[in-house]
Amino acid sequence: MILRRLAAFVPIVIAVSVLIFLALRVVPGDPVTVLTAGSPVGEDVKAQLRREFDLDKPLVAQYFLWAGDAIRGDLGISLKSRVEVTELLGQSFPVTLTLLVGGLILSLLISIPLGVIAALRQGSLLDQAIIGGTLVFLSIPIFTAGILGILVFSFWLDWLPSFGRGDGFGLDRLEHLILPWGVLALALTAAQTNTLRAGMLDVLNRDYILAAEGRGLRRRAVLRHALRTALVPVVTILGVQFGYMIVGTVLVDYVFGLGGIGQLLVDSVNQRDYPVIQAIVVMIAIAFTAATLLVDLVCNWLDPRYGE
Amino acid sequence: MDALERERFTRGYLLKRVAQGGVGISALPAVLAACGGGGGGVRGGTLTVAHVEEVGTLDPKVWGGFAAIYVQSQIYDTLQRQDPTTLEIKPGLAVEWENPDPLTYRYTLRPGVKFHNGEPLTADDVAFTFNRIADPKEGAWEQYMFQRVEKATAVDELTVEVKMKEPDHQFQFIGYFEGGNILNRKHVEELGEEIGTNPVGCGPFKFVSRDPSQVVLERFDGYWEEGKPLLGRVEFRNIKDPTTTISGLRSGDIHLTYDVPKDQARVVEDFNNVKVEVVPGWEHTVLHMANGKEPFSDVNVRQAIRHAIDTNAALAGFGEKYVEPATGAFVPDGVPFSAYDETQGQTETDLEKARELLAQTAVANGFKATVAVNPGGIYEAFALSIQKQLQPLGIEIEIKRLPAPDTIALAYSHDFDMICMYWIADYTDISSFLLQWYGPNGGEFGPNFTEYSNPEYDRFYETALTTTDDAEREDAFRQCQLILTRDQPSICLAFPRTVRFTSTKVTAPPVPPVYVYDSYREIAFT
Repeated sequence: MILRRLAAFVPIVIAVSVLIFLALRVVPGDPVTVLTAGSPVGEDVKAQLRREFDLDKPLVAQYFLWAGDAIRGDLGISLKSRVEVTELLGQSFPVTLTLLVGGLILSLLISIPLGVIAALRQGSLLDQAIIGGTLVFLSIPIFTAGILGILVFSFWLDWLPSFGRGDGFGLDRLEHLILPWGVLALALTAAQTNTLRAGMLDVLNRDYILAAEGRGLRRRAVLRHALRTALVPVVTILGVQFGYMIVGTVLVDYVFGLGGIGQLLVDSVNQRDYPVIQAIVVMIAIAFTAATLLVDLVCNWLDPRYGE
Repeated sequence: MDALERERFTRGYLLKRVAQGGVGISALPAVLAACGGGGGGVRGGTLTVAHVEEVGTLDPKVWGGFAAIYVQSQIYDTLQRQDPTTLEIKPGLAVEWENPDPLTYRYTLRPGVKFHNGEPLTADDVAFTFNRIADPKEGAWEQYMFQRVEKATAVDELTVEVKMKEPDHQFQFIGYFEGGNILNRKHVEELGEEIGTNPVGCGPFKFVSRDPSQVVLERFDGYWEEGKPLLGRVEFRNIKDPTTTISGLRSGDIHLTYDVPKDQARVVEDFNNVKVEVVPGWEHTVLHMANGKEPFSDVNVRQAIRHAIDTNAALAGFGEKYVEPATGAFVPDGVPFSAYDETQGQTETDLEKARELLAQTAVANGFKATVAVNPGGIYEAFALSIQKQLQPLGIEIEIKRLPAPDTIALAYSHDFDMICMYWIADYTDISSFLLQWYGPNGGEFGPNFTEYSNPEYDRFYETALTTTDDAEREDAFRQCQLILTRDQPSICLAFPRTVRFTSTKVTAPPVPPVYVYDSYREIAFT
């Protein structure tokens, strides 16, 4: 299965790279005008800039020049900042990864206990409160949640900074990232909690669990067995949520000025910075494909029957 | 420990205490409020500046966006400076200058000035910088200012001479314009294009690092101006969302910004830790029309549109304190040669008159058109307002929201009906407002984005740029503006003021006319 997935990996990345390359050049907007700020430069100046960035060559030639360099690890330089794209990605990718992983862990820390409690207290007021509450958070767009978070925790209460990612690996970093993590996590918990709750309810009624309970196995041990199986759909959901999370990190990044891939992407799209946009989109495609592969591996580990 | 570090330490410390149960959460805001301020005349400290745009390249010849200019104005220095209030030109890197004949500019440099890499500033560096921009092969965005430059040469160690092919009114502004940032020849020859990411200038701050979220500079101890700069460090933070910026101003994490949307500026006025300075802006918001095509080629259509638009109504949400509605004038008050007094108030909102004018045209019953606009702020408010105000004339407006570079690209392609956009002067002169939009088609007099064609205007404009007689120039620019108000090739909608938001913890000199060139060499924490 893994080999089959890996084999599909290459054509997906190539297809995405061709699509984004063409899409960028089909939409109106010319990077040369961005580079000259609309100042009245002559045609000779514009022609020089086109030559410099290979924009004077036919589309097919441009693509192969770019793809050839990309395979060798040279993603070109940003038209806007003139920084190497690999350097820009090197600076912003760790930020996004921290955001993603932190948000994910926080969401699981919230949703696993909530899902289990809701399942065990099925139909109770608490169960309804958990389901209702997580749905409310799901319905708030991440962008709005981010601004609300800043309003409450930075503007009114002045507990947390409203922007930046902090320094070092200690309290300063935590102080800066807790709000972005929280915003991202809240958006993810609804689906996770509800999936886990449904999974637990299903598993708790299975024969092997009833049999285990009948043999007098302690409740805690029974729950551990049940949870392991019930987590499979949660992990699958995470795979689906990954795409949503990427959009989420773009928005969170935008609101909190963290300097991750999201902020870089928004800036590059606004500035028609072709090399940066291409690199980010292809990287997201790779990450997305890799994430679905990882989900399959984790599911297999949790429940070896998975994928059979 | 600088002021900001002290504050961070305090807050971090408090948070830790809260976690330990040492300080009641409810008491926290009051305790934090008590931690602000303190001290006086601090040398050092980190100034945090918020900007909404990405910082592009730091090579002055490449347009890196406004945020890049904020940064470049700290790293580089120019030959001259302009007094923010009197507009008088003062010495910078040049101590003296002369214009012995209309084709010669001669600058005498300040001795003993050093670049960040330790190299001394020489006339050769200045000549190299100017020739680099003037050469079309370099693709410099400000090359238009150097179109009539023959050559810049170093006469001796500290004297540089610029020879012109023909007289040019614009060239004199290069002395204190961003495009005139002086580079170190040796550094550029060694690094080539990479100076954009590793800049060296002789300005008050030197480059430390950059990533997509911030650019960091630190004090250049070898700066030529005695005792300056006072700040130890400057951090430029790229913050997109206005709520984040406003919140940062309130918490004291942001010390200086220009990038709070005008319709939200009033919120900040209530903060007792932020100073809001409003000064006349060298900026206008304009609705440009495609004069080269139907129906905008008909002056009656353009005038009808002008009379249907009520700029006061469109700006109701902004307040006149921050944006002044334009009612006939094209160029803000206070700009040299501006005919503001003669033209402002000359066009009135009069729907009946608009109907009469439109009735005389081929599109008497109205038409459909698009307005391209940058999303948000004044521009979108105008677009929505114009859409509504033109309905009674049967003119149906479709709004196309585009990022700023795309509206410029549209202007270049001449492929638009109407564009609603801002223009900030590159330098403190009227020509910077008129250059791109009107005038003879293409070539050295600008791209004429609107394709407005009027030989009378063209003649005055050419005279204004090339004459050596100041009185003649003044009259020519005046005539240009009177024609624009009469013909309305574009409709000037508003004059946004420049608004600077500074923490009360810092003292800053007055805002310069072209605010993007604001230098932080005199800013200090109190």
